[in-house]
Amino acid sequence: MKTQKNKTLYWLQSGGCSGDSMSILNLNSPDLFSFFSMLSIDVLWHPSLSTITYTEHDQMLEEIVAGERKLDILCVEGNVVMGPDGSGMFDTFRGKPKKDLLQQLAQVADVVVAVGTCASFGGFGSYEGDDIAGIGLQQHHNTQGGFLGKDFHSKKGLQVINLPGCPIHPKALESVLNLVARNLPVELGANNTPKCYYAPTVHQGCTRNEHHEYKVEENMFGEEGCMFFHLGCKGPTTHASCNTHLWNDVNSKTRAGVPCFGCTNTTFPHPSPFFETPTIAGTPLHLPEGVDRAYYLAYKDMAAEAAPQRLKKREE
Amino acid sequence: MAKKITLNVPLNRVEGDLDINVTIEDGVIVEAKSIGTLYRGFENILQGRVALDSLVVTPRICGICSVTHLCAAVDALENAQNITPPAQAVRLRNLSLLSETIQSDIRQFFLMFMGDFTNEFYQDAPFYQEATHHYEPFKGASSKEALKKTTEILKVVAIIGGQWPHTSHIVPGGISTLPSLLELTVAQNHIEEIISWYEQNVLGCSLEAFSKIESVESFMYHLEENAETDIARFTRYAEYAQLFKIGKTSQNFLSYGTVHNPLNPSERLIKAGVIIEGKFEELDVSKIYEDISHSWYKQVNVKQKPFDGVTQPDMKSEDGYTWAKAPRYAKKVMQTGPLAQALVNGDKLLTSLNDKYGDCAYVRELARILRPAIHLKYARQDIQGAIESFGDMSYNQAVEEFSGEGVGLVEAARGALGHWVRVKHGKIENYQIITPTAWNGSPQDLEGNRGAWENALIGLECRDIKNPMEMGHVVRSFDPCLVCTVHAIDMQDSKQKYKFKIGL
Repeated sequence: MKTQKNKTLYWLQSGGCSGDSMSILNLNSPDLFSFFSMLSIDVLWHPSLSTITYTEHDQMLEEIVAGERKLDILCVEGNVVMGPDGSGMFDTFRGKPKKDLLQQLAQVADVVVAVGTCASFGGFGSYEGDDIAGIGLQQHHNTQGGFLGKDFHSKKGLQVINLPGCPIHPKALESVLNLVARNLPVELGANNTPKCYYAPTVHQGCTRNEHHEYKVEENMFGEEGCMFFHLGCKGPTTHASCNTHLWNDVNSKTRAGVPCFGCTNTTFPHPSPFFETPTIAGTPLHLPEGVDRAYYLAYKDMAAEAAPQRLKKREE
Repeated sequence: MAKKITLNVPLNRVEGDLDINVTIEDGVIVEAKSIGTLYRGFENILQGRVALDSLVVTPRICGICSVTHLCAAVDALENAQNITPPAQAVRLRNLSLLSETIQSDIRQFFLMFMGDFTNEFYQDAPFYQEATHHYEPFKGASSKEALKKTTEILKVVAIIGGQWPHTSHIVPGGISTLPSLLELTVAQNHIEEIISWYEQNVLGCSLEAFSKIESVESFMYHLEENAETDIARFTRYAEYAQLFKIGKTSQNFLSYGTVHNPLNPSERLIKAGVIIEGKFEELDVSKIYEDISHSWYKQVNVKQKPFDGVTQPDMKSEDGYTWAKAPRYAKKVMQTGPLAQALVNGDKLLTSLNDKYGDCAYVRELARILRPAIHLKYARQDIQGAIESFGDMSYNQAVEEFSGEGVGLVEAARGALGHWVRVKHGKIENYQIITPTAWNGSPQDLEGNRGAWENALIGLECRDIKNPMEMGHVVRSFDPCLVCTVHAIDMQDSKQKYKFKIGL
């Protein structure tokens, strides 16, 4: 057994777009490379960044799978491709389905991290009729289990840590690796997502909240008001820190007039239209968590009456 | 007796999964097949969704050029509905796309291309220590600095569109938001910061001074005078690695053009066009078709127009070796990317480099790291324009249900990207995407012509089959993006369903 003082990390890309890798490259202060070195994490392999030869990579994988080389952290980006017909051959590595390699690596890793919504819950290509038949590592949409099964525990006795987001916010990965590298526990909440990043809703911290408060709701793009009632914004029903830890350190989609598409949710990208809010009697079908519809309606009507002119001025 | 081997090389530091299957005879590549090993089925995911959903779905095709897919999706919907966006929206769109492309060019050069020179393959090269100091993965001083700068330029996209990657701020009729004057001036500072880093470290002179270098001689003189720049180091390493001699495929180039004129959005300031066997022609979209003769599709219509593209799997098609279709332009295999963009636009320096050395791996990669010299000037112009026009309308269209068809043509970092959409009563009936990597990494066609990088590999000497560095240089000089290859997969056995032969 080769001993490693540093923690080792292997990054596997499966059915995905590389967007999570691109997103974590945007980590700032420290930058991603300094971050790994500060936490003493050795990146054994990242497909976009490593320069070892393919023969060295083959050798490395053999050693890891045989338990001769320690694997502390396995990060998986992209969903597990099961198609066609359960063969997994729509996504291969060295002629074999990549899901087989993933299964082997998951058995020897101390911690398994699902990076992004596709790896966590299935994401793109995970719906009935989608060719690739993608599933999440340990969860498929709302159902526990996924590829590894609901009883799976990593060598350290942990279930898969889900870091959804399309793409992942760099802070979500940073916060988890901060804890893992320091041997601190990662407290998981709903859907096995770490509370440290996923406890807040996207709505919290949105600069359009005052408009939301007074029901100043927009019907079209390019305005300053809230997008919850008509434009499909899922900020109040989606858990992520987009508006508390800003994207690229400067902004968020909702602040820039783009509705939250609920990309950290288990059912993203649900087949219903993105830019429309499903409603009942003019009120969103999906209300913020734990809210009583009758009280909500009463509150919204009164709030609209109380709305100050400075917020309403664009409304005819 | 010639020693003949077949080798399957998984190639990393490309976006997505790529295998190159090569036959090597006496150390020289005699046959090459490009195999995307990941199928994603995005075109089918789009069918039946409401038209605007393409603004959310298509950026997810590619994490590295998500804004580009967004632009193409919007371009196609605007084309179908005959919508012209307002000038201020055009400036902010230009800035979004330029920033993403600048980011991509810099990351590809520093993180994906230069790292090869720190591989043990070059341990006896005179530059090995220097290259390791500057470009070693995760550690190299220049690579780390370049990574930081790319996060800066992406702040421009985030200021305008909320985040990068995967935002949807560009919408038919304009953009979704009005950045404040404070935000626009901050964006301007970010752009100036990148310009200053790029001038000092990559070029060795100002953008203006560099634009006056038009001949090979004056370029080489500039490199001698500025030996401690990234382009000078790259040129020294390239000379040693013989990148001036390898990787040539053809003199057929395709560019859709980019940077829209805010006052006349249909005009592209970096112009569109094709070069066929060295001769410029105006772009004629109707000459684009996809050849499926070597692909696993029903051979009823071997040459398909994109609007009528059908995806009917048929494992019995005898010549098939891939699910990738082969896009062609008037029967020609085209290469696309920064070099094509520069040549089509009449760039003097790259034209003279191409005249002298051809479309070798060196010139193709150099074109990529020189492109920000052009793009940053347009970014500077557009942010200034946006600040001067602050307060102008940036959205002019209400969303309406419609029927029709449209095409969106955009220059991605990797080259020509096209979206073809047909909408019926507000829903997507058919969506076809032809990516730059589909052009560059296509399979053979009916006439037996290999795809661009397949052809570039033929005749290449491969010194160490365990570490085929030359192949890596040649293919990476095209900056492949396999995650974009929306319908590519390898299935080689013609008899048995779902039996795949990938490997030796």
